[in-house]
Amino acid sequence: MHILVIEDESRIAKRIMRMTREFFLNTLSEITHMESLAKGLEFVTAHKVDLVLLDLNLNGESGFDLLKEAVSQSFHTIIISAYKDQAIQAFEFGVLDFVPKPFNKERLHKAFDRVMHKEDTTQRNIKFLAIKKRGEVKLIDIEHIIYIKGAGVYSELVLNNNSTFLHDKSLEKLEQLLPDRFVRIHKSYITKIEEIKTIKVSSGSKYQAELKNGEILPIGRTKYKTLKEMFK
Amino acid sequence: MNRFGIFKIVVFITSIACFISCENDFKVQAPQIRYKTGDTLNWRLKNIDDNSWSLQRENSKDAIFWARTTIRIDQHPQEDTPQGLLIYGFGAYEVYWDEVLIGRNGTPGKEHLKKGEVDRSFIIPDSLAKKGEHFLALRISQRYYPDQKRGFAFVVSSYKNLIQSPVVLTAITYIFAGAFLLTAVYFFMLYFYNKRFFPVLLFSICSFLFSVLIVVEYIKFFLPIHYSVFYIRLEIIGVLTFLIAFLIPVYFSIQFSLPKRKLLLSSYFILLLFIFFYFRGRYDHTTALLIICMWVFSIIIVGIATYKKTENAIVVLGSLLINILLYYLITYDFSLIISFTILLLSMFYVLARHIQKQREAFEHSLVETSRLKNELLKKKIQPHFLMNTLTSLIDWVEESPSKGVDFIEALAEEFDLLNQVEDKKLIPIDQEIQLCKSFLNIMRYRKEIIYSWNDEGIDPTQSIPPAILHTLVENGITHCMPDDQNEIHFHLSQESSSSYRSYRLCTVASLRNPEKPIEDGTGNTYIKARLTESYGRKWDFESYQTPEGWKNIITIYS
Repeated sequence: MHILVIEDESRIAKRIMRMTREFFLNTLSEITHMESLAKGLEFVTAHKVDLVLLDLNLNGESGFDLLKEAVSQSFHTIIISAYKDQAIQAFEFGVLDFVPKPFNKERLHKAFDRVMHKEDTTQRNIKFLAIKKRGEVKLIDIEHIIYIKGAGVYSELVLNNNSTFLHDKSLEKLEQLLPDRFVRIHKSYITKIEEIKTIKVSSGSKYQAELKNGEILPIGRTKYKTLKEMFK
Repeated sequence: MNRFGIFKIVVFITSIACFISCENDFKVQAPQIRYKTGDTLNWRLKNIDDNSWSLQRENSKDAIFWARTTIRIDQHPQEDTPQGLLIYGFGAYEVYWDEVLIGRNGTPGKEHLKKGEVDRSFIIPDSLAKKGEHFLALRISQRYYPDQKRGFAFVVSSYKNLIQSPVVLTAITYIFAGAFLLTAVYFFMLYFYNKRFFPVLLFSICSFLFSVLIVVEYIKFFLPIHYSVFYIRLEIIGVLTFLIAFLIPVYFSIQFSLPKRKLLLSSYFILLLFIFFYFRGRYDHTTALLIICMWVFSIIIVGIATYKKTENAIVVLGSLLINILLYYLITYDFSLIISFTILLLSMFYVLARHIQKQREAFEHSLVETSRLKNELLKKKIQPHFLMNTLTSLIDWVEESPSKGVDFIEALAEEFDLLNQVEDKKLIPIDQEIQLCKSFLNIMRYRKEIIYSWNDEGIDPTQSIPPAILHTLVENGITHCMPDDQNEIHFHLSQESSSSYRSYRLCTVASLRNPEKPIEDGTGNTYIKARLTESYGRKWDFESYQTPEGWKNIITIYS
């Protein structure tokens, strides 16, 4: 696990890092502290980062833009902020957790549990996926998404107006963020359950989902059973 | 009062004026009169030959002379309605109507008692009050102003009308006088017990002068004035008119901020003085000229203001134009009152609007003060400060309880200081420095950066608005990075002269974002609002980047 802490208060940064080390122990490959998001993103270009712990008020910069910029990246984001009123928006934008200050070890570790799938993310209030297009961050309403296709470390979002966008997060990470209506039907596909018209079984135990727009997506052998259950 | 309100009042007054001037059946006759110095009772008789008598009265000193003329009665008098004769004229006289003595005004030849008055009405016996021409003879002496050849004028009407009409007219105009006296008193009080706004005083003076003018103008109808003191009243009216004719444009020039005011007003004053003295002795003519000057000059001032789209100027201009119209429609005396009333009403309106504005500004400043107070308090309870401080505090307590205690004490000091300054508009500079130091102390625990402070040349007797240096320190911490020794240094110095004092606060450090201009954030807005609250416009605030770091200069002018 590669973790980056972005926090301008030195004492608090030390506290976060100490508690992070206590949780991950030897599964933690690297933990770095940066004072601003700009420096953090610079670091991300040259280093592998899985998780960012981000303060939303950094040296006078604050709020919405910082959040949008963070969630459009490939890493998962956990916000650690003094402003509890930003929590709802943060979840809508697709952060994994929001830890209000002042925090203790238990609360921070609970957030890490979510990262490690130990606890199912209860608060899946994500409304938007932030993607980067020509240097700008654009918000895509998840209601417009028909399905998402894995493309290596990226994902491809297919929208109901036939446009496609690349997202920097992997399919695994998006699956963690998206609500239950978004079902992983294959190792390379997530689709919205209400977009599936029928499930087809062809010879050789080949499973396929026909979507309402006519497209046909493969269904993974292991996923078929759960999907069938849901589809009933 | 809205604009329509004032126009309604104007229409109301104008209609009263028309009503009164139409109602009044006062037909003045000024027939040819023949004079002769001497005293013979037979001269009262109609049928003596007076063709040799002079048409001009000669200066007869205090000797008795006679005047003979004919007066017309145009209509058959109504039954049981006694007719009367009103005589305007100088001197003491006996009145012979169709050869019959019908009354006296003083005693001719014995004037030292100063009996009688300038206007007097006499009852005409019913038997002699028929329609047609009547013969009038006056036995007169004019001891005072014997050279004044004012002549005589007459009104014949029902006696009741002669007596009553002036009183009714006076009663109505005195209502105006009373109203303006009260207005004057009210605005005078307002001037003294409120902010000393000069136009308020001017308005009060104009109202007062105007009420006195009305009283003096109509005093002749109920106070008998002997002709020897007749001119005193006119002199008073002249002076009052002069003052009003000067002060009303002065009022407008201040109210509507006339450019080059002093020069224009002094020229105007000289013009008025010239008119006043050049036409001295021609009383009504002089006052009329003064009033015309006042109208013209006022219209110019208000016209300029209207052209510049000054607020309310259009209302005043409208009422001035109505006044010009009235000037031509109604007789001079009464149009003057009506137009002054309208003028004062429009001034009243402008002033009321102005006072309303002032009150709104005052209320706004109260709101602003409490807003700033809230903002000051919020600095320390806003989540960013409070929650980060508490998080650091928890960490210190867990890691090093004794340091944690020190931290709590630093925090207690900051809140204590804040408590002391929270509701003040100005605090001693020492207290402000204390506030900055205590804040740096807290930040030291949070950021683990060495924040150092020094100040020099600070005059401890001076005061400044609370938390403005503190806000600059906050900005410094936010926007600057520590140097190699992990230190950010703050340096405060003072520069003073007789006309100003300025505080320079330098943050010695490098900027986090040198390219990004520091915008006027909430911090700077707070500083500016606080400076405005205490010093109006007499301050200056500069904030800029230097090679050493960041520099702020607050200058307060005395």
